[in-house]
Amino acid sequence: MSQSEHPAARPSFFKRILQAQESGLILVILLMGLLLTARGGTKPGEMQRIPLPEAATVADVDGVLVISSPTDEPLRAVRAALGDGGKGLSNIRITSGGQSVSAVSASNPRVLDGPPRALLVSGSESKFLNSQNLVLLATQASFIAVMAVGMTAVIILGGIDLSVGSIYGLAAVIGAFSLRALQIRFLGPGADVLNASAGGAPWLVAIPVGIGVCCLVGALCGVFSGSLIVGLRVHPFIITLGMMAILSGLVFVLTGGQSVSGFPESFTKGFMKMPAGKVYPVPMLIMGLMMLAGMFVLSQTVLGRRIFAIGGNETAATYAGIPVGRVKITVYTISGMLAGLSAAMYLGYYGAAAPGAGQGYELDVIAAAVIGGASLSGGRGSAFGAVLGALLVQMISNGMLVLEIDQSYTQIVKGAAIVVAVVLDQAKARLAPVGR
Amino acid sequence: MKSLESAASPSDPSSVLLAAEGISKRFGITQALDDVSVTFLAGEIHALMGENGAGKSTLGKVIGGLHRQDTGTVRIAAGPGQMRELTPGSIDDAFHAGVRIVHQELAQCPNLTVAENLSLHDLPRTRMGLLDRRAMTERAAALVHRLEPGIDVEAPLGLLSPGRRQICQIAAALDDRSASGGSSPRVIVFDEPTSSLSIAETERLLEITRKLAAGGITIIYVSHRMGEIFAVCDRVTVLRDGKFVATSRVRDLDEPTLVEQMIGRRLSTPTGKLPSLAAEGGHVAHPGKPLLKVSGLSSASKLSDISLEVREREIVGIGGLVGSGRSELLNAIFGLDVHARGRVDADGKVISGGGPRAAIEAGIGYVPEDRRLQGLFFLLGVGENTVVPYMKRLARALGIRNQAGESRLIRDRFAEFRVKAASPASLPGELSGGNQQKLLIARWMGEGTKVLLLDEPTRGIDVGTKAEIYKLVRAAADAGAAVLLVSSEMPELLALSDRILVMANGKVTGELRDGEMTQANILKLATAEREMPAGQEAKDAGRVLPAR
Repeated sequence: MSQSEHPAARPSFFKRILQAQESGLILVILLMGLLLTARGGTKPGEMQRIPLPEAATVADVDGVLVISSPTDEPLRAVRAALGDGGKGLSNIRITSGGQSVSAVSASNPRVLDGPPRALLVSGSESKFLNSQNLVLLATQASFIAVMAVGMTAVIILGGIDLSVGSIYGLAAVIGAFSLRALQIRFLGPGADVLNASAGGAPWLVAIPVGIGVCCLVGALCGVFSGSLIVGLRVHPFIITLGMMAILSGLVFVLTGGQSVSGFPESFTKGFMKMPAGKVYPVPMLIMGLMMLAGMFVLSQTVLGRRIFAIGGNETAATYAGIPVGRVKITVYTISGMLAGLSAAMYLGYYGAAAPGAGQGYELDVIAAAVIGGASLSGGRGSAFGAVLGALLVQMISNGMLVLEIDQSYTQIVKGAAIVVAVVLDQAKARLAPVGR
Repeated sequence: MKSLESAASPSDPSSVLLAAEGISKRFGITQALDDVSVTFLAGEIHALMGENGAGKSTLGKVIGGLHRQDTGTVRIAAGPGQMRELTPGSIDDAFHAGVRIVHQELAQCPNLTVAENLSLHDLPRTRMGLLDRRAMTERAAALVHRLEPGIDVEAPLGLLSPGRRQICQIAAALDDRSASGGSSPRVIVFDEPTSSLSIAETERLLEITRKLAAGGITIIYVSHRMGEIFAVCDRVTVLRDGKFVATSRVRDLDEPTLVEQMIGRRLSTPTGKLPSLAAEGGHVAHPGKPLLKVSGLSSASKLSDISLEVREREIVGIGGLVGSGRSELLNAIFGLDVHARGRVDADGKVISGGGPRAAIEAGIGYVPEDRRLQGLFFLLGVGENTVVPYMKRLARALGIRNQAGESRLIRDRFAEFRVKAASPASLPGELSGGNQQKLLIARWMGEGTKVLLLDEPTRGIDVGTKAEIYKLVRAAADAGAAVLLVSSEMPELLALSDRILVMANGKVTGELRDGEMTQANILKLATAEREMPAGQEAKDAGRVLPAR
């Protein structure tokens, strides 16, 4: 009814959803998840130990484990572990108190003798859709996502930063040297930094040093390329391409091609890889935090709106008195700093800096930003989209593993995803009202 | 032209060259054209008029094949007594039938030379298959020099003035390709051809237009400018809100009637015969303190030693030809020209060397010449477009936006300047040209604005909005602002200015006051040559500023 009256003032619910910035991306992620769940197959889940009452009898009848129990406990426990019923051949048959009978299938059920007697079962779970895989996916995506938030700002500005991967590498290496030096300082000279199980730098020192050094290195690299871009009026593509080569060369000079490790545990297991239950949530939390920070800065601060203004029309921005050069340097600095932060996450999570760290990340990061809706001609993009884009990029790598496709195809699929994302984005723009 | 008219009376269907029948075209929610039918006769100059958003440009583009109409047909004469339908939305078919369009925003490659631009469709080759530069240059020269002998066809197009670029486009449209199996031009659609031209260039263009029509080419002339319509056109079709209003012979019309047709009501101040909006004699006699002082402003080859003063409540017009350095002067005053040397004071503060920020902080507002390129952010909402220069001033600590303050400012300015937008989040592209311009003026005319620099503030906008803008500018001056106005539209310049400075070759060649402010005097000073002995002729026209 309202549709016929004001077709433009209030587009239909479906159309609004369709036009919302990130809805398409979420849809694609869901569809891909669905596909990976359906096509990815299953694997044995985690082993579960179900205690059997003393009075229960166990027998193996033609490969079927027959358990007779006087109580309902084992039956309930098995059902809870494997779900009701079972697909395929049942290989466990449980009789409880002579009343209810249940047949379930489990992979490789065994009975552990010896007090107390227990049944070992593991259900099957989707290779893709299981908590472990999803957490791993999100964690790996978080390294890319943090950088993609910065890259989105750069791309909205109408620029590009090809050096983020190398900044990440350099920040990781210098951060690693600093953390090791810190550890040596606290353990005393001559101590075995690599195998110190206790002691070392406390978190109050280790965390600020780890994050601080990495971010500082990243920020300095950003200031440098930003200043060159503004001062020399050279296209950012050229400057950051040069920086990419220079910085990754520097990494090899500094490390001599060797990995650097020996960090305070308070930074690794005590922070970045701090377990909470069975997961290590800190990188994911940082990703969420940076996404929120990015969304806030881009929409709620003067800097954010100036970034959009410059990307949309740099000449008009100059005429409106926006300090274009300063904003540009700031944005490249932020992008560099976020690459540094990502490097700090990597150091703490993996506990070492490899000399090749971050190589090729620029592709993933730019892909994430662009898939997330950032327009390479400037003026459009979102931090939320960037994080979704990073998840999608990581999902491609992960999906390759799940589907047992040769890893060599990953780059091909990623490349195709960028192209498809941009084409879809343009198709969506055509649905929008004229005059844009 | 007259002979053609007598040979082809409008009622004689055999002389119809082009007929648009029942054309409708919708963009999103806007019905740009609603069942419009117009016939164009062979060899006539036929104006399409209407306010912005009336659909005249859209009709021109449908005829030229740039837009595909939703319904209706465009037919063109093909052989005696026969018409053939043009394929809707096909530039190729329209071109092949001899329909050419000269459009301001039409793609040209500024990095290529004039000659290359003119030959892009068919680059001449030598027998070896290499690019035949000489043939290309000759062809370009033949086309361009017919219209404007001074143009260097081997110069990159981007280095030419907008006026000359326009002439190159016309030259391209005139290219007769019948010899190479193509078509010769039969219909040329001019879409706002003079909006970026200076007075002299406009005169030249009108002359060319007449010549073309006399040669049998039908000209469809889309324009806002009343004076041009009466100067060259045979018939005029008026559109309003996408609907056909009337087609009339120009000689049967007078201006008030035409304006009435365009806006649907009679306007108290029709353009062309603008009543003076200059301040009352009292203001000129006792203008306030000087708010803008420019002394010895020079910049490379663009400006040389310019000194001027604009006082409180005063509107100073700057006349001159395109390329005389008028926009460059405003840029330099606003701090956009890093090479500028000299001193600029705004309200007693030195702002030269501080860039646009210093200028804005001193209370200078600048509405630049090209609102699409230099003014608007098309990806930001109209609200943000208005508030961009003040966001920082309004912001809270750490640069966090004060959105309540922003909304208040947007609401106030939109109300004051009557910007018609659905909401502050609407994009500027959804606004009409007049509203876009009002948006930019609203951006720069706040309570804090002491000096207003206006560069062609009414270019390409409709008469109704023009009158509105004139009143706003005058009101701003009366409220105490100093206004520096650049305009190529003589009536506008003469009506608004309290005095007029005329520029040529980057210099101020003279100042005109009161009775000296006439079109002839401005033109005389604008064409003053540097070698002119001691400004002898300029002196006749008006006071010459104390020589450098």
